[in-house]
Amino acid sequence: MDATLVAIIAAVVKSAIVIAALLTIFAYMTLIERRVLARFQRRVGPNRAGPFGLLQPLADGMKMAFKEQIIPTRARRLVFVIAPSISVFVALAAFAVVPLGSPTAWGSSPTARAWAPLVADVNVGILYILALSSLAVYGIVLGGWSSGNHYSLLGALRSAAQMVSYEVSIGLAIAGVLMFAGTLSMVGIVQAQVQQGIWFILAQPLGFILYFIAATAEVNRAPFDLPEAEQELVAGYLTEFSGLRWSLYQMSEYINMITAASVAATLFFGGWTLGGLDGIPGIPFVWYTIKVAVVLFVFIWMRATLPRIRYDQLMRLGWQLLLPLAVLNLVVTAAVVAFDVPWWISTIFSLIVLAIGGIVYYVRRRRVEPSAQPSDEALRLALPTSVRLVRIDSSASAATARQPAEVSPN
Amino acid sequence: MTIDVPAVAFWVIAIILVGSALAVVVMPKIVHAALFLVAVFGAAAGIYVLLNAEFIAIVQVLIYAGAVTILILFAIMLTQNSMSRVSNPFSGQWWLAGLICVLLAAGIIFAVNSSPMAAGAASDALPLANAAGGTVVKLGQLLYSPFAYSYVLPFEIASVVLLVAIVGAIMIGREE
Repeated sequence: MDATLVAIIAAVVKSAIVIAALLTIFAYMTLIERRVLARFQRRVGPNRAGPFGLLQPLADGMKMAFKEQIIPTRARRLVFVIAPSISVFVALAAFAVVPLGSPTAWGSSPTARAWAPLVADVNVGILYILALSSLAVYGIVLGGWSSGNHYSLLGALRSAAQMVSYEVSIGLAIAGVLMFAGTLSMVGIVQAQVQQGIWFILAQPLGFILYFIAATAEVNRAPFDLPEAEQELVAGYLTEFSGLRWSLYQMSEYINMITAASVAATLFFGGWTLGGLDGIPGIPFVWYTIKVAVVLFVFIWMRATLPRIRYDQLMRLGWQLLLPLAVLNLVVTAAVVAFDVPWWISTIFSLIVLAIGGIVYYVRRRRVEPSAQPSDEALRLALPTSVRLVRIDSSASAATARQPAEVSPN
Repeated sequence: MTIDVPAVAFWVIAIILVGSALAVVVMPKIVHAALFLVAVFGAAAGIYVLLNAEFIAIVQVLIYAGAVTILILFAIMLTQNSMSRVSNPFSGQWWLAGLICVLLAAGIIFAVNSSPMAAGAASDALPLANAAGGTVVKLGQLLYSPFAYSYVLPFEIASVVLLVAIVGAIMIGREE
């Protein structure tokens, strides 16, 4: 058969598989996230529908499908209707260049290579993901603006400012990896890690942490979920959306999260490879899945642990901390690559920067909370070790002064 | 069976591009016009992909569709008068603009068909497009290479101009 025809058929089939798989994973990510969050908060979580709550996503889907989709009278109808679809389209499209296995294992002929486990092996793969994630802001901005609601518009503006700010940091944070790899292709980056015998997180710990923080902000996850802050903005751009349109926004958020985790796994953790076992069929996909699952778990972990940061803190973190550190990392990595010195020089540099950061954080934290240590010995013994005590300032009020301490549910 | 895939793709993209570009001008609501501008940039990126210039295509999406149009949308959303029904009205001099467009198009078509430079430039560009590893490596060498002939100096001068622009923007935007 004609190689072009095979390539087109393969691309269509693989895209359909990826879309179906991502939508299923999205449904189960919501379940996993709710169960894991419940564990963090000492609850059980949804476990009624089916064994271990496995049918919960199905029930949620049915509920969403039959819910009325309200369009507010002040909404701009056309834009309001298409905005969620734009969000999902962009999120799904970004996943196309993520490699789930080695294309070289599929043989070298073009017809065989067409069925390699990624939709498209673009030689500017990582830039493609960055470009599409920069389009993700449209879904949110248009959704917020078209709702005809001030809170929605504020949420959309916050979101756009946040995503534009952190995109810069993402690009600079992964530039170090790209210098080590010498290519922009996702497949090429994994192959470079195999050739050099290291995962790039070993050479770029600072780059990874910067990427992870910036990616969390880019996909609007807690603690950077300001665009949908419930307390201040009644869920921001999501306020007026209900039923399936609301689920479409949730869908795009989770798919963006999976893509961000896949990029982290590919760039920093060797993608589908581990310990030379990737020659066995099926094993590369297992490694890839495990790596992505771990990163996704950390996303959920952060959501359960960290409080949402303030808007000014968000901007200060992005522009005054992440960006300069990313530039510093870039300069040092460039020197290491250009002068051909061993890769661990950049590791040592990264660890020094991280250590300085940790010390500064610890010192400032100590200065802010001088009385964070519990002193009431009896109370401390009576409580589990995971509970921290916050001393009440005795000058605040006479009524609370009699109580020695308050139990913080932190 | 042989389908000339690039040719089919070119015509599909070209029709989308020209249609969206017309929509940018004639749409009565300016937000819809701005959205069609995104489609124009996306279709232009598609044309670049067909020319084997993936890097330029991605940069087109990243900068024009991802950043510039968002700024335009912001400006519209924050300044728009919600009372006016038609926010993208026609100017009374639309016939003059149409005339200039026709003349410009005629000039471009004439230049492409008659100039010896046009055909020569296309064949010169081919080895660049077919280089191993795509155009990124070649572009990088052409822009920054310290050993071969490259455009380092113009690039750096452009950077300085941009830096001046940034500093100027901060000076204007800063509160007294």
